[in-house]
Amino acid sequence: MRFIDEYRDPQLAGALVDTILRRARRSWTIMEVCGGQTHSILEHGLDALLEERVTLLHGPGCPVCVTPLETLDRALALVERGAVLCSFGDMLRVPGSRGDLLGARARGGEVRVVYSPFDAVRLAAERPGRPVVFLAVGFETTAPAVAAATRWAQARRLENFFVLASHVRVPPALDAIAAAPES
Amino acid sequence: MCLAVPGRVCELYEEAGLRVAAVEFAGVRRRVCIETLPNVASGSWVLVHAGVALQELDPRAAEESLRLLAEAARRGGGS
Repeated sequence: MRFIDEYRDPQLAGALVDTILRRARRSWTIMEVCGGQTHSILEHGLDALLEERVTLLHGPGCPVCVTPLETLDRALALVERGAVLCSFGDMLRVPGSRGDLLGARARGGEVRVVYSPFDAVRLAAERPGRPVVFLAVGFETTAPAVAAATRWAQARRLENFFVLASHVRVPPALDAIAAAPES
Repeated sequence: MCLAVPGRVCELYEEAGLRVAAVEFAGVRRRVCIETLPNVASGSWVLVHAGVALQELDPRAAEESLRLLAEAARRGGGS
């Protein structure tokens, strides 16, 4: 397929690997931030291709994994109080101190998987009078979508749409790593 | 949740004041906010994350990236 085969051209990849290995005059350690990158690296064996000169460290870059326990506890408490809780599918198995959202759903709570914060706004419009809470996690790329959906809810004058925000930013974490004495 | 997925714009419309497109991803249609891309048209390919079209996929940009990769490979170890 166009632009898939071209980007998976073994000859081109081989030549680029040769170039990297020739030009790296010392050993390099590189950490990738995003889990999607980790997936690509391992799926295509890039770590093995480069291991002679380059060590690829897999960073902690997953907003789902770094969501604080307290945020999950708040979400669980909201479900128990009768809110409709919406989030991305991966959030449902993240444990709080008293279980996860899947468990809350099994006990009769209304927990909905959405693909987009806009879907949560649509749900709020369909269910007036019932609080609909979007549990919002994500980095800089995701936060604007949540902000845009919130503005949409505001423009539609929906009074039952709420956001439990737990966004995180990448640069402060990188600054902290770079400022550590051993780095 | 971090993934951005490419899809093809099938239809443009307005939903309660929001510019929205029906975007097809490998046979599945979803509603996507296209407020970010004022010039997107039916038939465009877009990269979608969390229900928002982040950018239009431009065949020329993809060709340019390939050209740069090939050039980097060709130049090899020279500096």
